[in-house]
Amino acid sequence: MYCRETDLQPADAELLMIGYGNSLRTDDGVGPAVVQRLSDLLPSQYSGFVEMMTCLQLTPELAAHIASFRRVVFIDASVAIPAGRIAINRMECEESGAQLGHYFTPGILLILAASVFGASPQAWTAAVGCQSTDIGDQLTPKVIAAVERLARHLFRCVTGLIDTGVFSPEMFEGSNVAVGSE
Amino acid sequence: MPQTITIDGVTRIEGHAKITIQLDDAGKVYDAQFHVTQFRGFEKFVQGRPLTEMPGIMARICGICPVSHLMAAAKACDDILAVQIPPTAEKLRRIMNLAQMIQSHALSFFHLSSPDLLFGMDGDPKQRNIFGLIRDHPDFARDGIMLRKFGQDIIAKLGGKKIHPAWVVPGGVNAPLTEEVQDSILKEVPAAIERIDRALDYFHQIEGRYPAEEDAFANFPTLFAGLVTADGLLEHYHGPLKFVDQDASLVAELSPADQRHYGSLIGEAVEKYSYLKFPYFKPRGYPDGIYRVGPLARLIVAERCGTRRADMELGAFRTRLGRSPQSSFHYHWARLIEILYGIEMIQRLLQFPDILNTHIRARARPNRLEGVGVSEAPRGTLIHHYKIDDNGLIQWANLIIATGHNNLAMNRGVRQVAERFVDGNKLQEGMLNRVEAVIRCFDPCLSCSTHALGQMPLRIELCKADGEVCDVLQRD
Repeated sequence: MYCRETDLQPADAELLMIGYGNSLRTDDGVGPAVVQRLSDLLPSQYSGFVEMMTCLQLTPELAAHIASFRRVVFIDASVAIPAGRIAINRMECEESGAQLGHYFTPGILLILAASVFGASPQAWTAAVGCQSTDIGDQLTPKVIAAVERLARHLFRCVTGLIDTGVFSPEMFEGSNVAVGSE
Repeated sequence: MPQTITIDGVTRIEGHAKITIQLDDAGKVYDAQFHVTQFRGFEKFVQGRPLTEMPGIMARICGICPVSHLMAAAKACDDILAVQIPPTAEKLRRIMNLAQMIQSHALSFFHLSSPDLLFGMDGDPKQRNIFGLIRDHPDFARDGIMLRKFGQDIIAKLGGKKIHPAWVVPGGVNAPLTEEVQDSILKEVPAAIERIDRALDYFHQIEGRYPAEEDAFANFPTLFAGLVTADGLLEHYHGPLKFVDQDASLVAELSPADQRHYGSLIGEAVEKYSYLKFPYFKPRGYPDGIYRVGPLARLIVAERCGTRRADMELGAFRTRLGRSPQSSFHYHWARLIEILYGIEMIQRLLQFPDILNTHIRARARPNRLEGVGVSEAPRGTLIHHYKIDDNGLIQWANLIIATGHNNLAMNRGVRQVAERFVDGNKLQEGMLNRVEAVIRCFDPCLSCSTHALGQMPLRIELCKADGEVCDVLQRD
């Protein structure tokens, strides 16, 4: 079920979950941690349906990969929301005007997927508020709790997609902007 | 009254830097400086760590070129262990090193620098960016992405992941190549060749449009340095380190064994305005000992590439520009030639009969207390130098990274471009874009950090000496 970067193949799976961040900078590693936890939760027979990957940062070649999926969720740490808080937002493919450096944003990847590879997967960002980005390989307690909540929420979303064909991760506890709390 | 323009931070490079341009009373440029404003400290905080951890720790210096630091660190450890790694392991390390060069060059050229070349230095900044590139040149953007993917996939297939693979270890590599991976990489080679051929065709259509930039983008005589093979061909992993002059004539050479004594040729100066050291060619002193490294330098230092297609392209390069072009504008073309070379050389290495051999690591305990590893990173020559104690713990480390070698040239280049294009009496975005663009020719990698929490806007202020702001340009 759990795929490392080396396993990347042109996929026919329905859903791609990308957890990204630096696991040596404490809570910045929350994205990979959520994907790892979700991998543990999902039965192995889901492997043809959902692909999960972790990476340190988003890079341009990922555009080619996400273009082959119908849905993609980007899971990352955020300093813009309180520690342990979870915010899930539906993404729209629009230019941000941001200057490009050596790492890419989910928005730029979606634009690349649409413009260069002709595919527009539905996309969401799932952000977890982080408490610390200091050097360290352990998440802080609030973020550890958020990992479990978010992984279980995404698990329900995945099973819901299989059962009903509906995937709405932004709908959680009655909110479509920010879900979960410490 | 003297004034200063500050470009803070410089965009479309890796890391945090600013440029200051000093103007005289008439608004003319009289000085300019490239400031690297961040500090990493790896040389200090590895002290006390076991030697065997060095490749893994040093790879963390950079999220773009971790393989380069992995290579140089592993070679320094090989030197301390006093082992000769198995031939298959050396070939596998070479493949990974070339794959990294391809992905890094592809990112630099296609996504960071090509907006300037495709839309013009004075083009509308709203168009002259990745979005304009995607909108107006999607096939070009696709080729860039797929070439980068070619390199990244090789790193992932060999090392288990694209960033910070732990596959290169002291004494060799920790897993052999499988036939399945060998076939999967070879299968992608023809498409990669097609893509770089298309990019070169495209480049030839636009390269002549920038005579003023060719003339003024860090265009001055310097020394050039880089590794070569024993018979003088382009080299990225191991070989003599050559210094040549502006005519490509040999000035000095360090054999691999002599590279422990790199300090006899390379001095390291510091300046108060930057955290980046200023290496210089010691026999000529500081700052006269200015030299350049990287793709352009490597093509000048080498007699030829040693692969068929790359040598044909190098022939076209030298026919148009001469044996030793001095303008750093030509780093772009050199980068494309090196991508082509890298693809061809990976194909060649994968076809060696011993490439699937499982003897891939030599094992030993430390046999020396000091070791030096030298390899070529995408941006130029990389030197790792470690000293250990009797327990194998690092006592001292010195790193000379590729971007550092080019520091003197980048500073002089910024000044040259500013003098040529910047009129302090009437700031225009295109003027200052050129100041940044000359830096992008070198593709500096400053932060080597993967923990980015925001985008730095570009804000340029034209100030009087008393601090009064008299003009501002802002790019969000």
